[in-house]
Amino acid sequence: MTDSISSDDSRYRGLILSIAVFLTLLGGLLVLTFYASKALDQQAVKLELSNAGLNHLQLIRQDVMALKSTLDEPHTSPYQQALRASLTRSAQDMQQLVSALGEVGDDSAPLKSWFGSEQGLESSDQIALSVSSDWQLLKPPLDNYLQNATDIRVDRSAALASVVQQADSSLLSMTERLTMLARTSANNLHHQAYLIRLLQILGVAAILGYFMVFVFYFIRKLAQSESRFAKTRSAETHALLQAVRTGLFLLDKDLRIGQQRSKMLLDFVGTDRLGGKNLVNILRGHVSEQDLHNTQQRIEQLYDTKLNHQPLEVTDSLHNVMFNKASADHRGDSRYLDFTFGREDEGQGIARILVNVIEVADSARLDKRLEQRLAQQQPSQDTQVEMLNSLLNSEPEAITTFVDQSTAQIEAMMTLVTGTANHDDDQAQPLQQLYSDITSLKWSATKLTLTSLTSIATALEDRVLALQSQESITDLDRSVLKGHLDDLLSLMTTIAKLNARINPESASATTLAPAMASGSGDLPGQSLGESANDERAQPNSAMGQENIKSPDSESDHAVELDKPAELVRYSQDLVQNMAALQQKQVRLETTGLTEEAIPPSLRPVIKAMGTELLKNAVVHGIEAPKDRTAKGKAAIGQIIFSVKNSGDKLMMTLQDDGQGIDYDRIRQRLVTMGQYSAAEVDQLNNNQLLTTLFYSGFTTKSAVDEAGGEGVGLDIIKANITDYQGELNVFTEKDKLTRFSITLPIHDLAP
Amino acid sequence: MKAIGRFMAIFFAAGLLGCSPTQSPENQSANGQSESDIKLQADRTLANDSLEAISALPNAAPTIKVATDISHSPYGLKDERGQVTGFDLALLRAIGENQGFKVEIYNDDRDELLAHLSEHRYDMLAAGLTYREALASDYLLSDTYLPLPTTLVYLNDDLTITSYNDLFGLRLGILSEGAANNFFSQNNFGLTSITPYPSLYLALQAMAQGKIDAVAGDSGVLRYLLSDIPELTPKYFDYGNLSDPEAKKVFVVRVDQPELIEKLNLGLANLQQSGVYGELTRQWFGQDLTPAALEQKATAQ
Repeated sequence: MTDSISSDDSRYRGLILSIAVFLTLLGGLLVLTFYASKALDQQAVKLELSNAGLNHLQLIRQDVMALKSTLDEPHTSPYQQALRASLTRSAQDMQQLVSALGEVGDDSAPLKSWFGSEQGLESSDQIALSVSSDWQLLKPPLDNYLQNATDIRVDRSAALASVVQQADSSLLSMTERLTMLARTSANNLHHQAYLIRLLQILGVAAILGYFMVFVFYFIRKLAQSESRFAKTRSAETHALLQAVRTGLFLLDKDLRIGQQRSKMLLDFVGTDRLGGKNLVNILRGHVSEQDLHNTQQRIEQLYDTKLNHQPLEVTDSLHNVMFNKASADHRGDSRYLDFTFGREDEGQGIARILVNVIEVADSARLDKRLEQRLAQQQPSQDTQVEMLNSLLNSEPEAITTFVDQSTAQIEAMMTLVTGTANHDDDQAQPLQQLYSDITSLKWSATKLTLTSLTSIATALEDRVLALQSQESITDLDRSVLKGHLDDLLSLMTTIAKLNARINPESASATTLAPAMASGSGDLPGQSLGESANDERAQPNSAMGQENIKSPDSESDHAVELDKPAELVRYSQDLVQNMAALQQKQVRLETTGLTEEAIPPSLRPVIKAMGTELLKNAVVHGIEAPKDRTAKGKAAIGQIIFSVKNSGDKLMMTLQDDGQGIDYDRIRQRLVTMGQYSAAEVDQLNNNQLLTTLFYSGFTTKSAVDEAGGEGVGLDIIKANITDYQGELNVFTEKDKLTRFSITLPIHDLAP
Repeated sequence: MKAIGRFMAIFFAAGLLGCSPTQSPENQSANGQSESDIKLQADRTLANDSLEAISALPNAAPTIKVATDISHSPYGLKDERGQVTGFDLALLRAIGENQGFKVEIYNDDRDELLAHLSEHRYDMLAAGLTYREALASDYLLSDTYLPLPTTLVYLNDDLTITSYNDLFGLRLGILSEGAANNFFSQNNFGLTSITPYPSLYLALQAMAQGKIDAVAGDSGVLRYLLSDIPELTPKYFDYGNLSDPEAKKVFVVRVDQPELIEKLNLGLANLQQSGVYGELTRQWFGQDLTPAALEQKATAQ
């Protein structure tokens, strides 16, 4: 900024300096002209005086001569009287002139050499002096004659004779000198007039010259400078416009897109022209009806001035709208878009909406998918599996308590959110309350490893945190919060239902009531749950009702594995529930779980690894009944879970007769993950490929990725084996079997 | 300031020059002003010399060359511009207007007038010349146009001249060429000296300066001159009569121009009859001399 100011200064400094120099020059010329004109004036006065003097002298000479020649005429005659009057006048004029001539000084003396150089033999002062002395000689006899001329008794001829005598010499001398003065003055006059003209020409030339310089140099320089600035500005504007064009566009009340070019939107939609078209019509078919509805609703809300008091603001956004280029069936080239809205208020309501659309990152895309599933209240199989797993690992009472408490908490939060609408001024308190409630909920959910619940709670927590820094909460904010809370509530309902199926006796009646009443829709898990319930009855009846202790000894709700039989029951429950969810038929055979002595220190790890491997077997190993039938296998899949204690080692084997591990698919997955190139993957042998299954990154990624699915939770196995210094062997045969053999050393002290 | 004023003047002058076409109405009005000034001056001239300035005659009217003597005022004198004027010329112009001729005036020495007339330089003389026999024999003389007898003037308060006898022992000044000279050359009356002067004014000047005691000459001239010199208190002795030849003023014409004499006489008679003569004599001599002129004429006849 400072630089630009100083550069602006220097830009004009030359111009200002040149103007100053020009004005100084012009002023100097004017001063010189002033002195020259003053000198000119003096010379003009001198010329005028000398000419008048010559004239007076001439008249005096004429009158004197006329008087001399008419000496005999009556002095009373009109002519004589006229002559005498004329002579008197001339004498008086001459007297005044001589005085005036003496008074004409040399005012321009300092610049005399410049303007008033006396080019005669005598200076005007000398001339004035000599004229004066001559006149002083002539004047007395003249006065004497004029005095006596009218007296007939006095002889006037003598007086006139003396006048004539003096006039002969004096008049000649005076005439000569005045002629000289006249000539000198005239010369000086010409000289000074020439000088003035010269100065004026110089002035005009200076003006013209400066004008030329101004036009050809400064104007050009300024123009260049301006053009430089203009170029920079233009480039910046261009860049800005490019940026603006990339994502921004305007929407009017009828949801018509403005004439601005939004490259992003054009790219998404794939057409050339969008101006004037209806956004909803354009988006229809590319985004889900729900997103479309949300978008439309959001924009209508933005146009509602009652809901928005601030003249211009960037309001809430629509995040992670899935945009499918081909159609809305989620199978084409899907991208995830964030719509951010701004309102333009022109004083008479909202004029138009400024929309910015950007594509969101892949991670956000995945978050979106999770949220989407939850929002649609259709927990995916993975989510259900995860929840089921968590529920099975937790004490039913603890779950029931959690569900009861959380439901009440969420409803309280709902009230809190709805309540803030009435008193906007004091919203910090409710937000703080909301935040602590959510944090508490999240913590409880984390302890119960309810990941989905945790992620929604985290999102809600982030939202509330963001709102705390905001000045006011809009209705839009409230609706978003409410949406999240609804999600939580419906998830709680799902958890309650699952818990009720697993633990019918401990399920809370109160939990289900609000969840069902909330109208969260038909849960797919419901029908699924019924079949699962039937299947679950078998192991339950076989194994008997026994509490399952959680492997997590740190948890308050942890379930201790007091008896090996409990591990059998747990495993049976898990497999049957999983199978029910997967719509598969599985039979679990366990050997050694009750017979073999499993050191207490290894029980949790056996359970943890067993859980993961059983899940893996049911989900990925055992095929669907019809696939099995098609392959010529029995519809019911078989899993054998065995433990054998050889004294110093505990061997755990889990074998299924499923489809085996698909090495090609692992290769493909590795390439997709970007860990290996296609060429590198081709060179990996089966063992190496199997090893990659246990990479944490691999398993974690695939756990949530629809396209993946192999080795869910296998990283836990790997971690445990490493921790317990055990060994892992994997054997697989395509469409026949997969066998995981884990050997753990039995130490006195557990790690 | 002066320089600035001058500058401004130059500037405005330049501006006026530059704008001369639009300034023409002003110039015209300025010209109109100066024209009216000139007209006014002409009116004044007419008022003073109405008889001299206006001629109703056509341009082709004959012109008479007239000589006069400007030292013999009021018959001939110079006005303030040095132009010759006087009673004789005024009367002659009036006669010329009456008789259809224009007058061209020449000034000459009194002593040379007759000689120059004889040399045909002029057609006639109008210089207050007095009738003389000798003159009548050589030239054609008009009827007398002014009935003014000769007179004697003196300044000395101690003197009282009532008869020629009183002239005894006085120094007399006279006009070198004239009737008085003739008269006192023939009758001395015991005068100590008789001094001729080229003009009666010079004779009066000599008397004022004490060089002579009395001056004798034309009554009109002497009274006219002395009336303008208030410091002198002249006393007169009118020794002549209207019937005297000295009292007759005549125009002198060359003998080869008898028709001019006729015109002069006829014009004079017409003017005396019309009153113009009376007006002119009142203007120059302070009284209407028409009756005296008619009486003199009757006496002569």
